[in-house]
Amino acid sequence: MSFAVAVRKQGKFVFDMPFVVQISLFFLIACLSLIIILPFLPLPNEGAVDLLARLQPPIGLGGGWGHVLGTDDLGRDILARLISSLRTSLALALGATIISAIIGTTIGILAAHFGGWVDQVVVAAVDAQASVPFIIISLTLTALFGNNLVLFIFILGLFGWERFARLSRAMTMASRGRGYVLAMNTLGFPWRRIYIRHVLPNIASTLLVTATINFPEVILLETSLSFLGLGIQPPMSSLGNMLGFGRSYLLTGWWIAVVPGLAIFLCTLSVSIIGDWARSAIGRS
Amino acid sequence: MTDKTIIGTRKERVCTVENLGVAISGADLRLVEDISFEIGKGDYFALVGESGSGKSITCHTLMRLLPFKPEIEGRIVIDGADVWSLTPAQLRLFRRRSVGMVFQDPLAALNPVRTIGSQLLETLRLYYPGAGGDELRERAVKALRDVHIPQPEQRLAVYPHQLSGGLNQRVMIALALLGNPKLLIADEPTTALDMSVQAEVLDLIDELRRQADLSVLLVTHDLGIVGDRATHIAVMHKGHMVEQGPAAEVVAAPRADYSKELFAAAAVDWPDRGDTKPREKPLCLSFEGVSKTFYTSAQDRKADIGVPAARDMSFCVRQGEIVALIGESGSGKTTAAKMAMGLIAPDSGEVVLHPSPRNKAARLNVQMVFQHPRDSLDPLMSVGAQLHEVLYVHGWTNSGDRQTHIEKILADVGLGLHVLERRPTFLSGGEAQRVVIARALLLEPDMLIADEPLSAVDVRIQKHILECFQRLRERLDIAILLITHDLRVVFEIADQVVVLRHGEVVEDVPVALFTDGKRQPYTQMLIDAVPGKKSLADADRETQVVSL
Amino acid sequence: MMLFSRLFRAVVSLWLIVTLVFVALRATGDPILAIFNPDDTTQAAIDAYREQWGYTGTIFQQYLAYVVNVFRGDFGISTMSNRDAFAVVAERLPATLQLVGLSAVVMLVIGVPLGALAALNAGGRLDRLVMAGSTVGFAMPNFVLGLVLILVLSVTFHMLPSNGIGSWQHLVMPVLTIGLAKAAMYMRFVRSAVLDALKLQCVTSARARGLGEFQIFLAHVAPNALLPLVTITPLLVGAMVAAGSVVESVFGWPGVGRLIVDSVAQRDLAVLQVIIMMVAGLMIVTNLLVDLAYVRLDPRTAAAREH
Repeated sequence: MSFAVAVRKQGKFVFDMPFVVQISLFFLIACLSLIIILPFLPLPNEGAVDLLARLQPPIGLGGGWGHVLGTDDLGRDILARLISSLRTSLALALGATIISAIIGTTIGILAAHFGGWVDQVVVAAVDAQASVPFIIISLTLTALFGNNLVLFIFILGLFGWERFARLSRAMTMASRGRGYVLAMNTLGFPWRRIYIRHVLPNIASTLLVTATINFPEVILLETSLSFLGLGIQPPMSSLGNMLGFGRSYLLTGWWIAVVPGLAIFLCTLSVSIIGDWARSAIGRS
Repeated sequence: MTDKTIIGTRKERVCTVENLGVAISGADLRLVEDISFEIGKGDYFALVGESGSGKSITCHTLMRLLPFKPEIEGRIVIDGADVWSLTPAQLRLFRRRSVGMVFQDPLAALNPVRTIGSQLLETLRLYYPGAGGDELRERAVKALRDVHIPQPEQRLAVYPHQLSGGLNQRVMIALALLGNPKLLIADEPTTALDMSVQAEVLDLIDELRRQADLSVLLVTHDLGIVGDRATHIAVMHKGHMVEQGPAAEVVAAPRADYSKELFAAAAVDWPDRGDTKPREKPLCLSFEGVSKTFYTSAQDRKADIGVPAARDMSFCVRQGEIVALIGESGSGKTTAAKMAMGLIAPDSGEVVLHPSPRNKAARLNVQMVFQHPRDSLDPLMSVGAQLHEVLYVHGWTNSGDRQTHIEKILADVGLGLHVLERRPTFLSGGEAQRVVIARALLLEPDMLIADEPLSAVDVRIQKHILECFQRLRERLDIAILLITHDLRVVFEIADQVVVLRHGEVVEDVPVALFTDGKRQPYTQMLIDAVPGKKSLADADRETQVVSL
Repeated sequence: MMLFSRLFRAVVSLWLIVTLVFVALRATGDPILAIFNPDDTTQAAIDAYREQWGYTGTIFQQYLAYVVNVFRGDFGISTMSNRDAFAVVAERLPATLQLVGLSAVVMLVIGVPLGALAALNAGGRLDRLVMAGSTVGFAMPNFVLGLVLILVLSVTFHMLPSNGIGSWQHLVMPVLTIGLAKAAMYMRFVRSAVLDALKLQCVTSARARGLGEFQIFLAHVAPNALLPLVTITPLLVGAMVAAGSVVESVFGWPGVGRLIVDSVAQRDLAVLQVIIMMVAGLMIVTNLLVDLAYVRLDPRTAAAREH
C-alpha cells in the first residue's frame, strides 16, 4: 500500500503517530512558518550592523527582548539571521533532494529497462559514486571550478543520486520480474505508459522515504561545506557559515555558534525521525 | 473432550496434545484453537491442511520454536515432559533427547557458511562431550551413511550449497535423529524438492521409522503424499482440527464437510483409456526444431558451456485444444513459454503462430497467464480500472462498450461483478487468478499460455480454476497451453500431453494413451511418482479411484 | 585466477582515476599556471617546468609524461608551502592515520556490542534506547559536536586543549567526535545484520537440536551477520575520511583532512592531486580487500566463480 493511499485511508492517521514523530512534525511546521512570516516579524534586519550592541547574550542569560537570541560580533540580530539561514539551508536541501531524486530515479529506471551494457555502465557508475566520500568530490569540484553559488547548487543536487538510482533500478527490476510489467507489455501497452502510470506509483513511497534520508544528509553536507568556508558565502548566510564565523567567539559569544548548531541538529533530527517512522509504517502496511 | 477413551492404549503414547490454543501475545489473533491429538509409538501421523490452517504453527509449538511471544492454552506432553513448563535448561535437554525436527527448505535450514561436517560435529559434541575428534568424525560418517548419502567421508568437508536439495534434506534428517529422539516432526519436508526426489525422502523417513520404532509427525498441504504411508490423519482448517482418526477410515469416509471437499479436490481422475480422436483442428502454435542455449557469460559462450533450455523441440497446439507441457524444474518449460510469447528468440528452429481469421495482429493472438496472479496485477489500481485500461490502450474509446465486453468476459470465467471495485490485494487467490485469465481474454486471443497457474493456489481453488479453463475451451473454443509439473492437473482437463526433460521432448501423446504403460522410462517414472496410485490394473477397471 | 581479475580491476580503476585527474586539470586551464603563480616565477622557469613535466607536445605526449611523473611520485610543487607536493601530504599522513585509526577502534568497541545487544533485545527497552541514541548520533553534525565538546571541556572546564597535537589529551576530543558519530551509524548496521541473522532458518534449526544460545550465536548468528558488515566497510572508510576533513579543521589537527580544506581554499592543485589519488587509492584497495575477505567468509561466492 503506498504512503499516499495510507494517508487517505486513515483519516485519524496523524493521531496514530508516536509522540516523538508528532513533535518532529510540529517542529518542522514551526520552522516553515517562521521562514514564511519572517518579513512580517518585528525583528531587526538580519544584516543591520549595530556595533554598540555587539555580543549581547540571548534572553535569560543577560540579554533583553530587543535581541531575543542575542547578537553577533557585528551586532546583528541572531534570531533574524537564524531564520534567514534556515530558509537558505532548507531551500537548498529541498531543491537538491528533488534534483537528485529525479536524476537518480530516471537513470535507475532506464538501466533496469534497457539492461545489457547500459545497465552495466549505470551499476559501475553507482558503485564508483558510492565508494568515494562525497565531500571529497565536492571539495575537488570547488577547487577546480571555483567557489560560486551555481556550482554549489549543482554539487548538492548531485549528492545522493546513486541512492535513488540503485533503489529505483532494483525496484523496477523487481516490478519487471514480478509480472505486471511483463503482463502489460504482452498486452500491448507502450513502455512509457507502463513506467509512468504503473511502475512509478508503486515505487513512489519507497523513493519518498529515501528522500527523507537524503534530505538531512544534504543539510549536513551543505552546512559542513559552508562551515569550512567553501559553501555559501557572505552576504548570504547559511546555518553553516554562521557557525563558522561563530567559532572564533566561543569564549566571548558562544551563542553565535551554538544557536545555529542546535538548529541544524534539530532540523536533521526531526526529518530523520519522521523518515524512520514513515519507513516502518510503510513496511507494516 | 476431557474424558477420552483411547482405543489401543497398549501402545505407549509419545505425544499428547490437549486443547492446545496459540495466540500472539498482545495481539487479538488466535492462530490455533482447541487442538487435541495423540501420537503413539511408531505412529506415522499426518497433519494436513491448506496454507493458513495453523498446521505449521502447531508443530513449531510442540518444540517451543515459535518466532514470536505466544499465549498458550492447553497442554503438550512429549516423552513424558510437559513442554511449556520446562525451564530453559530442561528445554534444551528435551530438544536434544526427545524430539527432532526437519524443516521445509533444507538449504535454508543449514548454515550456509559452515561445512556439513562441522554442523554434524557440533551437534554430536552435545551427545558425546568427552569424545575425541576422530571418534566424532566416525559417528558423523555413520549418521550420513544411515540416511544413504553416498561417499559420506567426502561430504563432511562440503558446504550445503554444493549439495542437491534431496541430499541436503537427508543431512537434515540425519541431524535431527542424532540424539535418537522418540518423535520426528517434519514440517513440509518435501515441498521444496522435485517430485522425483520427494518419494525418496519420504521413503527414507518411513524406513527410519520402522527401524527405530520412531514416531513421525508429518505436516503437509499435499494430500497425495499422505495416503500411502500415514497411519493416522488429522485435518486442520483455519486453526481448528476438523477431523482425525486412523488413516484408512479418514480417507475412505471423511465425516467433516471440509475434509470431504478437500479430499474430493485432491482426487486423481485417471483418464479413460478410450480411442483417441485424431487431431483435426487447424494449427495454432507450432514449435519446429527449436533450440536455445543460455550462457552465463561471454567467455562461456565462446567455450560453449551453457545451459541448454531447448534442444530440437517440436510440438504443436491446435485450436480448441488443451495441451499440457510437463516437466520438472530445469526442463525448459518456462523458456518454451517465453518463446511462444515472442519474448525470447530461439537460436535455431522456428516458433510459428498461426493467426486465425478473426485476429489482426499475430502477436496478440497469444496471451499469458502467470504463476503468481497478484504479482501480475498492479497492486494500486482497482481491477475494473486495469481491465478498462487494456481495452482503452487498444482503441476502445467508448466506456460503455468496454464495460459490456468486460462483463461478458467475467461471466465466461465465472467471476461476479463485485471484483471490479476491488484492488488485487483484497482478492482471494482464486479470484485473482481468474481476473488474470479474464484480462488475458479481453483481446480475444486464440490461445492462452498458462505458466504453472495452480501452484500458488490451494487445492480446492485449483479445482475451480481447472473448471474455468474447461469452460473457456467449451464456450470460446480457445486453445490453452498449460505448463505445469503436476500430473494430476493434466489428467483433469488436458487433451494432449508433451513431456519435457532437459529441453528435449520426451513424449507427445494424447492423454488417453498417457497411462497405457508403453511410455518412455522417464515418463513412467513421473507417473509412478504420483502419489496414491494403485496398480494399473485398477485403473483399467474404470473405477474412479479416490486416492490421495 | 580470481585474485588476478580483481587485482587487474583495481589497477584499471587506479589508472582511470589518474586519467580523470589529468583531464580535470586540463579542463580548468593551463595547469602550469595553476601550479605556479606567474608573478613569483620567471618566464624561463615556467618554460623549464613545462619542459620537465612534458607540458609540451601533443596532448597524448603530455598525458604520458604526466602518468610517468605520477608513478615517480612527482606531482609538482605545493603553492602554499613551496615544497614538493607529495612530501607535504606524506608528512601529514601519520597524524590522520592516528586519528582515524583510534576513531575506528572507538566505533567498533561501542558500535558492535551495543548493536548486537539491541538486536538480541529487539523491541525491548535497551533496543529502543540504542536506536534513539543512534538516531541522535546520526543527526548531530560532527562539527557541532566538536564545537560543543570544545565549549564544555576546553573553554568552560579547561580540562582539555582545544587545538593542535602532541599529547593524549589532544587526542581525546577529536577521536570522540568522529568515533561516537560513526559508532551511532555502525550500531544500526550491526543491529540490522544481527537481526537478519537471528531470523535465519538455520538458527531455528540449531535451536531445535538443543544447542545452547551462546553456541548458536557464536557458530551461526555471528558468521552470517559478519557478511553484510564486511560489505559496508568501504562505506565506513569513506565516511571516516570525510569526517576527518571537517573535524581536523575544527580541532586544528595537522592532518591530511585539514590539508584538503586549505588546499581547496587556496587552490593548491598540486597538493590536491596527491590527496585525490591517495583517497582513491585507499578506496580501491579497501574494496579489493573486502572482496577477497568476502570470498573467504562466504563459500557461496567462491562457488559462483567456478564454472
